[in-house]
Amino acid sequence: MDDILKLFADFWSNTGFAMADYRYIIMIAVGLIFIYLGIAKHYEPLLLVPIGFGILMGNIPVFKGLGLAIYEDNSVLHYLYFGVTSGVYPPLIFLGIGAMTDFSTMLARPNLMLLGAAAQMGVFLTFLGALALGFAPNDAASIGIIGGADGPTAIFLSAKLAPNLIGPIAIAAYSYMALVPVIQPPIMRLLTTREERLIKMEEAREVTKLEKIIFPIAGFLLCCFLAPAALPLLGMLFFGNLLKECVVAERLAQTARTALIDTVTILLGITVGASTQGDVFLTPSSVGIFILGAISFGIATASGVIFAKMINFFSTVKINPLLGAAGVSAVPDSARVVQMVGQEEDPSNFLLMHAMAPNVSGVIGSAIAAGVLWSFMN
Amino acid sequence: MYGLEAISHNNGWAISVVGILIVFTGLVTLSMLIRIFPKIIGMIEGTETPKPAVQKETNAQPKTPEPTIDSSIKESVRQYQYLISWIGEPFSLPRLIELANKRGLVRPHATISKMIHASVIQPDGQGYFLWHAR
Repeated sequence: MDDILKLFADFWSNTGFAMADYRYIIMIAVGLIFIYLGIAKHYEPLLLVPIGFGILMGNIPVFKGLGLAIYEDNSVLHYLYFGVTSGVYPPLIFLGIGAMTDFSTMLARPNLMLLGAAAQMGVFLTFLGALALGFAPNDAASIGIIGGADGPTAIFLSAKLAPNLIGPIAIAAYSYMALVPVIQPPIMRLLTTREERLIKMEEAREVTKLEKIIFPIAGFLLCCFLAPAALPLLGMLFFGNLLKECVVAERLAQTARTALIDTVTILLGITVGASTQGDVFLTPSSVGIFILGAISFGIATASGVIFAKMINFFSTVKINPLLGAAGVSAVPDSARVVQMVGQEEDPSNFLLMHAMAPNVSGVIGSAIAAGVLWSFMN
Repeated sequence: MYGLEAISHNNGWAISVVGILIVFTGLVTLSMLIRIFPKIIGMIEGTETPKPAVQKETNAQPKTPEPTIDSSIKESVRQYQYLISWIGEPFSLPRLIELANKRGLVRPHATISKMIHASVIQPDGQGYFLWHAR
């Protein structure tokens, strides 16, 4: 009888119920909130559902040494997490993004690319803020890239510069990307007048097929000669776009923008979520990262809008300053937010396709910013 | 170390300024390169440069299209004319839809859309709309 009771006691001591503490419970609640936001509210479900469930997986209390937890060397989750820590997953995602992105609006209105550049000021101003809060330079650079509003770029740079902060940085980046429709509109309305929001954009010219084929090659060579550290991200982005535009490799483009990106998104989401174990994630630095992440999004939005107003000051052809907010490279959500805010004033003002130009140039800009920060920190 | 001292100690100002300049330089250079794509393609193909963006006619007043009221919207025009006389012109579409819903008018979005296509309701260019059926 004693042996039976002892066995039950040993079994109970190995269950999650016996090993749980308040930090795991808090993180499980966070994971459930993410899943709710993704499924019920449709906030970026392709990201929040895998991340939310990954948080649940990562915060089941397990006995250390059995090769179950993500940070244990011989666990399955650890092997899958290798794609995050080694920086493999983000370039593969960029391959898929390139294969599904149409750069023609940007090619037709290249001056709108400057708005994508202006929005990257959020990255560097947040970098300064993180330094001021006492973060080490490598950590500050990884936190700053949250302002680029690009999840794969944030994970890529964190993996290189601050692997210990991948979890909170990725969670912060993807959370704020999902909240772009909440964060951006008040800032956009605050910084623009009604007359400015009513500005209608001219129709852009037609872009030829040859331009769309030349662009990824020329863009890749130019950007990577300027910032070689951006090679993994921009190389895959432009390669994916070339596969799409050249037409002769449509099968490869189709795979890149469907099966490949979906597979990598699943693995990246679930492992990033699982990396947010309560005892690792719930620290004062994580709180600082979340606060700085929110500030960085706000600064990036404001920078883009203000820069668009400055362009109008010097230019005879006015652009709608709301387009500046689309420089935040949360594609295509920030472009949709521009459309929504513009149509609140004038339902006949269609800004979506114009907003895609700064939106996709923001992706290029954030990758260049990541390459620049990586090369400086090295 | 915190605050401005931490930023200066870690060379933060220089990194930020140079970093922003590099990002701007990259995208400005890329945009300038894209601007000359049509000329390069023209030279390669030996054709004329494609036309630039459509030029806006700033001098000529845009013509107001004549409304075309057919039998499918005649009754709706009569009903909505009453609403328009109540809210006045120019009016906002959300306000018109709200009133139509309160008055129990059937499918206001679809009806208003038909009237816009028929030029019965036309935009005034300031975010509001005018009624053109008399």
